[in-house]
Amino acid sequence: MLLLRSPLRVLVIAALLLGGAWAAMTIRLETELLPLMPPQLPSVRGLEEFQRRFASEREVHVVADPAMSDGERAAAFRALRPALAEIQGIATVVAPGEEFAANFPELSAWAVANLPSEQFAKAMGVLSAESARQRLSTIPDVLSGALDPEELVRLQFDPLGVLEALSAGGGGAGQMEDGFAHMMSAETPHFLTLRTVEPLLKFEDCIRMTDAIRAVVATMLPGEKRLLLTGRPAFTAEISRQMRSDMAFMMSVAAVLVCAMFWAFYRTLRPLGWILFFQALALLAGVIVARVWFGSLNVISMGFASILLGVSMDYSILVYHHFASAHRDDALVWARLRRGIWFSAATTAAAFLVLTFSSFPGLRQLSALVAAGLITSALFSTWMLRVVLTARPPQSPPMLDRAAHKAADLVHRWRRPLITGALLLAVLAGGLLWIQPGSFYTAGMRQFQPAESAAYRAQEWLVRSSAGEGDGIYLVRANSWAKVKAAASQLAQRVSGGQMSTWTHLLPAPQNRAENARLWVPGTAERLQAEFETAGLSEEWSDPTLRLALALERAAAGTTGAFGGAEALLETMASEENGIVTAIVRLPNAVEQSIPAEALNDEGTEVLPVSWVSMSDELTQMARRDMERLGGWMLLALAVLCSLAQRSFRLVLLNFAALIIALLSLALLLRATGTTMSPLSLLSVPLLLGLVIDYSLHILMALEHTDGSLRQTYGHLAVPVVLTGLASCIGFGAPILTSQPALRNFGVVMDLGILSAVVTCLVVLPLLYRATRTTRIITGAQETATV
Amino acid sequence: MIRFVLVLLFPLGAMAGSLSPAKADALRARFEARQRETRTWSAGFVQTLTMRGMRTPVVSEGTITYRAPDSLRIDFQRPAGEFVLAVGDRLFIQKAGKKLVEKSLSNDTAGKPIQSLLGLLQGRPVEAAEDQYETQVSDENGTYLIVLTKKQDAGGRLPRRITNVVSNDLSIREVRVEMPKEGSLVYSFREAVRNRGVEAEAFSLPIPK
Repeated sequence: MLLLRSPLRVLVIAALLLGGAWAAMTIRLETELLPLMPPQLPSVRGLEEFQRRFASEREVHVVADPAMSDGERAAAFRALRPALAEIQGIATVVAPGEEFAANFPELSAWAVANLPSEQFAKAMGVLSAESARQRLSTIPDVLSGALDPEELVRLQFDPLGVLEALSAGGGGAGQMEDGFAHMMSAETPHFLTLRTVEPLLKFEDCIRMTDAIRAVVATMLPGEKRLLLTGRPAFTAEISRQMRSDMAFMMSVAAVLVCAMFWAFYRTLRPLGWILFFQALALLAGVIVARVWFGSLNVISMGFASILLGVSMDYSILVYHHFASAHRDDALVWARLRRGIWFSAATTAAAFLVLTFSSFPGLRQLSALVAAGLITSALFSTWMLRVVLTARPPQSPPMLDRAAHKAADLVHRWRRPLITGALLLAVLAGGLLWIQPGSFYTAGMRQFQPAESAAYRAQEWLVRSSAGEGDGIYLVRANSWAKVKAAASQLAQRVSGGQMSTWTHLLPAPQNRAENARLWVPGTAERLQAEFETAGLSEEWSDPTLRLALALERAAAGTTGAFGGAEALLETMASEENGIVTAIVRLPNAVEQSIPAEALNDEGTEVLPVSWVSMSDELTQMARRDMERLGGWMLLALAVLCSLAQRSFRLVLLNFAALIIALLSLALLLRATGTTMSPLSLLSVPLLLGLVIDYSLHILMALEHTDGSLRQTYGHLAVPVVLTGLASCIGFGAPILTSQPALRNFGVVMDLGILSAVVTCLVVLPLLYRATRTTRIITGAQETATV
Repeated sequence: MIRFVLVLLFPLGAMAGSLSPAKADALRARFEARQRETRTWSAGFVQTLTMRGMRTPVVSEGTITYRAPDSLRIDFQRPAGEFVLAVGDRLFIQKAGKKLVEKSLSNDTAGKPIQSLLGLLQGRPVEAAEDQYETQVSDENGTYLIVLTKKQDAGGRLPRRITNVVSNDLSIREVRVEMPKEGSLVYSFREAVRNRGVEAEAFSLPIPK
């Protein structure tokens, strides 16, 4: 209640509680990875555009385990299909290739209508009275003798040989033949696609829909675990649900472990309640910043809570240890500690704030949150926590002092082997970094891929069962279809030897269509129908050809929607918006290739890869450039703040020596444990800078204050540094328990880094300080007398 | 399509009037043993194709020659000049007025009927068909009728029903395949000759022009 005696304190606490509650309730959780990436990268823009225009928020796929037999899949889908179609909000349930097959005559008509005029004339020749009559009369001969089941179906579908004529014409539309073969080869589907009436944009909508689909699967096929959901809504539902449970779990585990550790050291939990309360307020401050500044919290910022808990807990523990010690009434010691905390918070926050200039929006958000949280935490520990602890001073157990003194004696006794060993290990790590710098870092996006996710596993199944599995996908944009086609062709030449998938050949050619409309002979469909009847072939034989002819007839007459259902399919591969046309270009067997290094973008044309492979390369380059660009500024910020805090060139150098040795030790630990850093765990570098500077500032200040006395310095700081190190390990290590592989890697790297930081600052730094000090140092028995 | 013929020799159950399971098993064993002893086999055949939407069926005729273990040649007299030759996995198809084409017996759809026919002649079982079809075996005046009816859950593009007619001396008389969307393909064999020498030249690989 002491806190509430000051109106200012009441105001601040109330504002944070109310503001935090508002922010937590209204903040949007970002599940997408792409918004975390630099938007200026071509691959990021390509993937974003692809998702915005073509990847649907309306589609959920129910995918079968590839291990299921044809019969099992057929039975499962037959049972599910009608029930899935009954789900409220579902518009259609389709199997792959089904729409393609249903609309194949109109798609063929589209391909014919967009041909260059001379090829169109050839196709028209096939539909001429004479040619049609002659061709139909030979059908019995074609059907006699050696039979190929596929040829039989093909003949029934295209008795006049329109597709054949397209191939012979050498036009791109001849690829429809391949499309036809693909269509015929699709026997039992591997997945069903459910299309919703409305796009599923909100978490709640995604969760509701995927739950409804799972309920249908569970009802219709009890115990069937080999059917999984994927698609954008499935990922959104899974990730958002996972994020919430991960955050709650991570924070609970961290809080419980920190409490246990605090009790183990100080044999009390009462002050811990206050410490956690102030931590929660700092956390709320961060959430308010996230809500006001960004409006959302992304997947990387999920780690924000544990980072804050890990780093800012240090300040509270230092303050607590001070008030539990015999020096609690020494104003000088308190002033030094407060100064150390503020400089430490400012230095760490500055290191993070430099990241707001990073090219990665994900890091910019995180850095702002952590910086805000650190400053708030420093404020609370030196202001409100002090008020609480002054009112009821805690007592530190005597055994902590005894342990600290024994540790100091041990370090003093073994100082030479310790410092020699540390320097040798540093040289070894430096050598390794020099020889194999790449072995400490894995650039790929694999670590971002949630391998345990059901939606991800289903997506892998989907890719394996899809005919376009090996296709490289690009988005080509220009102000005309002609330019898009030219760029697509050029791209295909460079990447896949000119090979393009069927869909790419269906890109619109409005000028050709207009010319071909004039060449069309009206009444062709009616005449062809008569030819079929004369040849004794009924609708089973005539229907596809007549549908093709009718679509061409309608198009020639300028009828809207002339190509029927094919038009909706075509919109999934090309679109036009404000005079800019965008098309998906699929290149066979090019999925592992990144975009050619040479510029593909001509004047008015833009080619964007829709590829995680390209993005991985681009991200690595971007991260390297960022490190070069921001690393200098970060070091400058650290140097300036350390100079202000230490006001001694030698001490600043010692700060930096501790920094280098801690980073080299981390490299050795990474090698020893077989851990590599990912694009996300690179974030641990500024965090470790902050931690090492934090510890080294306090240690050096204490050493200066005690004339280099190890015993006194350890008496003041060994316990809080070890305790804060452990708290940081718990805070940063908590993400190891989450379902996100990238966060788990980050947690491991951070824990190894904290271990390096604590050992370096507590053992190596004091020895370096003493070794570089010119004035006399009190040691051994003298120290005992002083203490 | 004829690949399912062999499954007829794995009866799963018999209906009233059908052969008992024991008899069906015995029939299978006898047939397999007989086919394993077949070194060569040749017969005349008539192929009749009926398709939905066509007024008249298309009839073809020719001779078929088999040489163990994996060579098969089908020569058509009607339409004249067409042939199919399978040696190992290589499959050659000559259609009248077209270029000779080479395909894969195991990977191309054109190879499937030939593969099935070879399986029948070699006396090999076809494993997948057991899951996809129900089998009934009946004896009609000394001729065995084996009817395979597609199960409801089976793949959509499989033949609806396959009826095999085997005479009491176990020689294959007829195979009737009912297509998924109506229509049928019937092979009737005549003058079958077993284990008599065939000319080696019949199986020499053609040189594409």
